[in-house]
Amino acid sequence: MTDNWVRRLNPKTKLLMIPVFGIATIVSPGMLLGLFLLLVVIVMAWQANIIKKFLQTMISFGIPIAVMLFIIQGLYSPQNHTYVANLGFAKLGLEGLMYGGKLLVTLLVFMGSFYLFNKTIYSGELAAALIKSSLSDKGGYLILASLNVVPQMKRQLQVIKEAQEARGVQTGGSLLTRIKVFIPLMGPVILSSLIDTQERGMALELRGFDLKNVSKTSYIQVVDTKLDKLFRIGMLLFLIIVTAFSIYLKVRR
Amino acid sequence: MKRQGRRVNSGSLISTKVLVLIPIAVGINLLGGTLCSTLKLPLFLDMIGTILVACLSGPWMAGLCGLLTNLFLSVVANPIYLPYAFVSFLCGVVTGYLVKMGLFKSKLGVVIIWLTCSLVNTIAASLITVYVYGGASGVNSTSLATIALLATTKKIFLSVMSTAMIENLLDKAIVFIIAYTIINKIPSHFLNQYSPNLRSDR
Repeated sequence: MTDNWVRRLNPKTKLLMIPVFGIATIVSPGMLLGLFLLLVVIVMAWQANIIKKFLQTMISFGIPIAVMLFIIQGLYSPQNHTYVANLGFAKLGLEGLMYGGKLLVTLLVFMGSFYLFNKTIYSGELAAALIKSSLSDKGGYLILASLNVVPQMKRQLQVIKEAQEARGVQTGGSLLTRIKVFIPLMGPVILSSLIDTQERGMALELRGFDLKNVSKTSYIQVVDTKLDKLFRIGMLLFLIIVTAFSIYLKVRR
Repeated sequence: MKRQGRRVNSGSLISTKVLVLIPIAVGINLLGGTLCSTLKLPLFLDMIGTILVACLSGPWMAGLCGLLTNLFLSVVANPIYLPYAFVSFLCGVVTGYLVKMGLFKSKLGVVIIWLTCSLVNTIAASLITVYVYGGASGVNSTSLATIALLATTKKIFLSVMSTAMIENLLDKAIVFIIAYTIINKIPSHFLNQYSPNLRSDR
């Protein structure tokens, strides 16, 4: 975890980036703005030193969906009128390809900014920032606990898997045996974690989690700088301008 | 004494015992999905926790659980699952209301819930697949089946929906069998603090 300006941004700023960039791409005509925003996200990923993994994820996500989109929309879209190629069994339509391209860029912008957000925040910080701006403590607990509970349950599943294998339960083989083995593996995990909720509930109650009208303290201090506020206002302005401009273009046409 | 007890509970939307249940249920959902990919099953099985919450603490909490599941699925696994959060939310709410009507007490009722839930899931998921991903998300083998169907029928929505239907009926059948078995195996002292009249034998 290196320290740089992308990481130091307030989690709220990066959270706002996802809908603003995504919606701006959807409302803008054509895909030029989308490509530009994609470039912005890539540059930010580069600044945050996660460019390699970012590109890996984007490519492994983008290529299968691009292939699917171009096959489905390019060959079978009902809007196709101009054809660019004839493949024998079906014709490749320009309108479908354009629609597929726009959809692909939109998806990449959404997923890219989401991935960037996800990899450059620390989950405790996000919860603290959201609680500070009027999310309830319970919402914060839900986010944090859900994130923390999965690795813990995975460990438990591993223990149970080894125990069941020691009893002679087969975890490989035909499809039916693999479906059957699901129950002896999942059952104990579910039952024990349900019982575990009682302990969690008691622990929270004992620390006064449910008390009303008391000021609560947090271990994590989140900084919200002037730059963050500037970024947020700027993004909202950007979205309004893009929307207004696209509506203007549509009306004039 | 009575007044004091009421003041502690009123005013909060979610009580602590429900609050601690939801992350665990989300964990169960995610684990079901993970286990599926470790055992190399062509299914999702990521609704067990949602059904448990639907049984234990009602439709809206189940919806929330479904929403959070897809949110975290997109964080830890693949961002492609994010738009389907709406589907999980809808399924949770629908299952919750059907359980509230008392359908989870008998096996026939569970079959009705299974069919309704599969139908809701199929329609909502197909709408998202068509309008967000333009036909196929490319995550699993069903995308290939969709393309094969598309080549013969030439109708996008029909092809997406029929593949989703087959997949969902099978997936939800297994999920509901597991959830039903588990609800009947949970110790009564645990079940009673949530909803005491869930089982058929009382």
